[in-house]
Amino acid sequence: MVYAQARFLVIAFLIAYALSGFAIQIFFSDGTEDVYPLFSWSLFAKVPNNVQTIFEAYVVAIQGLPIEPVRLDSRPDLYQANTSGEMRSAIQEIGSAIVSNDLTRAQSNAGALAGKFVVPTTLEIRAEVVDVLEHYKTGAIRKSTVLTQFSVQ
Amino acid sequence: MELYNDLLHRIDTFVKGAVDFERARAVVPFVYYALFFIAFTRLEGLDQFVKQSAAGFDPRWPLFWAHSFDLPTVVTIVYLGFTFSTLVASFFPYAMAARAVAFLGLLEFHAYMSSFGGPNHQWDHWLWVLFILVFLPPEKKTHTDEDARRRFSLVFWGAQAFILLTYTMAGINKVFYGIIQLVQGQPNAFSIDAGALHVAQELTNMGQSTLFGPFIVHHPVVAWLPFLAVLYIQLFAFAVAFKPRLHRLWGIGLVLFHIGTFLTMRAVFTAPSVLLLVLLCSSPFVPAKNPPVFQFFSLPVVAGTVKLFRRLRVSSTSTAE
Repeated sequence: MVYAQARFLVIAFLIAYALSGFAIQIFFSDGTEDVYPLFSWSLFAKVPNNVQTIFEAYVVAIQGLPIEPVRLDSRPDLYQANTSGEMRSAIQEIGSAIVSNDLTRAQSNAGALAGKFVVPTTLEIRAEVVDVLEHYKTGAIRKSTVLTQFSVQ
Repeated sequence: MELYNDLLHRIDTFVKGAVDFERARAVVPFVYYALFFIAFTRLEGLDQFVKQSAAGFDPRWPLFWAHSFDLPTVVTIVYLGFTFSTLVASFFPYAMAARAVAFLGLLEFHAYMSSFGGPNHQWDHWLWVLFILVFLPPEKKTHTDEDARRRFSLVFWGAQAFILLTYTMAGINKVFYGIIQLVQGQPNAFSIDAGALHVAQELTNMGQSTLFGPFIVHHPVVAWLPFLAVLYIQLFAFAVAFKPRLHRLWGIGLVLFHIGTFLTMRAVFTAPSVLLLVLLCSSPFVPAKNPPVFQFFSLPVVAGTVKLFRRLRVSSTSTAE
């Protein structure tokens, strides 16, 4: 192979990679952004809306005894160390599954929390409508809806 | 076609196979040294990784063999394979077989990291750059063949261009959706609070804080100009591949961007940062004489504006004559 051919191949590779990345976005309407190992590089492309629905877990009872509801992340003594990230993503999954009526996915994610708590704990998953900037600064919630309640240990 | 020929001509102006070849040849081993270091440091956590639950493990196609083993065995093979393959390439960086082994080692690691839900994109740059570098011409040929030396430089440039292309793709996406959101009257990439909204959403989703995240949420205007600067750097990154004068500047700019997103949103892109330093900040194509003023006038948009003014001046002069 000579230089001119190699140059053509390098340019062709770069163009093919870029086109495949954009094609993934165009032809997969379900939000797919990668066909392994190709990727569209659509990272943080859309700016989030101010007003959003987020999902939060609240502790409503410990060992069967009702308590004043508190956010789960304010009671790290109730669950094993280093599981907060895992727990947070499970809660998001449970919330979005319930909203989209996918009860199987919600149950499977609730099941993934089993074994991570140090005492039997009753959780309430709520959908909260917030202004993300305002919520981060002051904790303000515009509207809160209880989605489900379940016990785990 | 004219654009294509123009691009080829631009490449030919700095891919010469002369000093640039010697420099590129000197840099190549450091790509593998850096990756070996990353791979070796990953072994520090191996005893923890082997204990992790297999829940959600859905192997990507390069891990076609993973179904025959339990997860701890898969993790051990992948992590040790990654470390030793990069060690081999560090020892024989000019041997195509060794570079291919390193690519396969990383492919397995990348596939493993991407087998728990969504892919881990911070390894994409490394994966494709290692793939490109496999095609560096053999050492024997570069000793005797001038064309092989030029191809060596070209493949190295291909790796640089690839990494810059990915940032341009990200920039195009941001600008494209930015315009759509602007038209729809939503917060968009050009809004003053764009950066703050990204930060607030990420921190809320993670349930964690970062060093500068809360400050950005409280003072959105502080992140506005840096956010626009990031748009500029990303959008024109691929154009910079053809402007070697700016390679070092874009390399450090993109590393600073990754540090910024980590300190505000905990977006972890540590692995590509090393690659940016090795490939762009040590770019073999940067001219020996490269004062800041030359770099300024090479900047995308600035260079175009200067060119436009020159053309207008020339045409007005010729009209007056």
